[in-house]
Amino acid sequence: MSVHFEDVSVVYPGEGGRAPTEALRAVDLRIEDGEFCVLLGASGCGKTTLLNLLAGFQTPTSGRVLHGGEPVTGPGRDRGVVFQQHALLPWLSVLDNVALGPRLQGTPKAERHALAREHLLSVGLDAFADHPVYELSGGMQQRVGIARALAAAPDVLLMDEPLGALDAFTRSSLQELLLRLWERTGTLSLFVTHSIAEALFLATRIVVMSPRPGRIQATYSPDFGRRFLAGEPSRALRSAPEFIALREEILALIAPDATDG
Amino acid sequence: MAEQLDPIGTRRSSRFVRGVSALTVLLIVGAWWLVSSRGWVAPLFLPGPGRVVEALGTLVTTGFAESTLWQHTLASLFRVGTAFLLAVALAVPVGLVMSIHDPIRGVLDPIIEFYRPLPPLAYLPLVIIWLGIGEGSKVVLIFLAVFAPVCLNTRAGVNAVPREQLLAAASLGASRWQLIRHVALPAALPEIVTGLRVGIGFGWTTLVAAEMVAAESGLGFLVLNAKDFLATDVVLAGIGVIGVIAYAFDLLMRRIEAWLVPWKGR
Repeated sequence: MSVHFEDVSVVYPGEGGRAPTEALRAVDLRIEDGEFCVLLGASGCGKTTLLNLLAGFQTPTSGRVLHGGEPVTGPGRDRGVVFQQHALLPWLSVLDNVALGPRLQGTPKAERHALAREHLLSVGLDAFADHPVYELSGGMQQRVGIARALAAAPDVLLMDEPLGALDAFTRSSLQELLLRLWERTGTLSLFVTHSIAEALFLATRIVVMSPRPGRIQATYSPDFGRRFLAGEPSRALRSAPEFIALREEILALIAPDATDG
Repeated sequence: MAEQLDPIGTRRSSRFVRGVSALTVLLIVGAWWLVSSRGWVAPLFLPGPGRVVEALGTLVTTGFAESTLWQHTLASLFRVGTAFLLAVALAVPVGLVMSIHDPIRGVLDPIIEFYRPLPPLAYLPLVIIWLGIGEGSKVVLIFLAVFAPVCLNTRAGVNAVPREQLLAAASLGASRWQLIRHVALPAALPEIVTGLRVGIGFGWTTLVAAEMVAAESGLGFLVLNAKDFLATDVVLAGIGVIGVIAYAFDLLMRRIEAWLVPWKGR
């Protein structure tokens, strides 16, 4: 099912006599099923606001957010979310965190545990099923967060800078994992980041946003993710001349004054 | 030996501290023994450690004021236990509802905030006028002492549940009730347990005070009754038992905490 942001604006009222903040102005964006759409921009460009609107965590000041033609009215299990900080529940084991979605739907224990094990296997954490989540590293916790979102079989997967807090090595291996999971499930993915290289590697479509007010500045349709899935090595792709050229082009757009990428 | 910088000295070894503590206790008992055995202070004011231990022995075997030490202790534990269980059973749901329901918070807030800072002994006379001098008034007094900290901690705990955890569960399809049951309550558990620990401490303090006013058994009564007979050794033995039980409560609550909320601070 497709997603449509229909002429969406978000304005936060100014407090204490300050001027109101325009987080988003007249954003119109349609994302089709199966796309891996990355929202890219500097902080304050409204990319997280856009994601939160689709997640149902906030409402627009004007315009509509449609999922499968229906207006979004609140959070729901058809739209899975992976958070910046993992937001796992520390009183549950790794397995029970992943099984939480099915549990909330009343799936019997044996069934939901089998399902959770499957999803843990797909993120390479089946050996850690019975561990407490707070004993895992940041990268592993984020993988549990991804498995948890996917175990609820969402129609759309929303990710808000999920790899932002990870070191560069963990980060690229998780990017590769995300692409493989996306290839297998074909889930419409909306991913927020401020890393141009991350956006280029993951996206089938990059939506570049600019701040004050938050709006869409440009869109790109890179193919590096698909080429990675077709077998090209990730390092070769990331250092390919066309990758670097596009990175520089987008950087000039986002931060014209930046002297260093 | 390789060492980490300890900028303001908060991380010094606990072995050192424990050693100093043990030495302090030894010094105090030693000074006590010296002062009483030399007759520098009359036994009426300060009987020696030997006398107090003897008194404790007599308390265990023959008892005092028609009950043995065990019976006094049991009477006190029964009162505080009943009041504690009742208070927890009511305070946790009330604290939860107060944090998620504005009208109920509006109703209960002034009541709890008014009585909470009152010393229990200030309203004990009122409780006695209303409920008499039987078990009921004591249990109610302890109940009130335990209720406020447990209720307020539950409320603070539920208010402090990380928004991401709630949003994550909501995005997995949780209903409002499921969010409370599966996220808010377990997330608030560390604070609730802290409330229990504070509550049982308050309850024990209040119990002993209550028994000093109107009782025929109990550790507080024991101490007060012994005073009437100028049995200072029994007074000291009673104080010792009250203190040991209070300490045991705290140890027990720490154990319960480690077992219930192993993720606390992680």
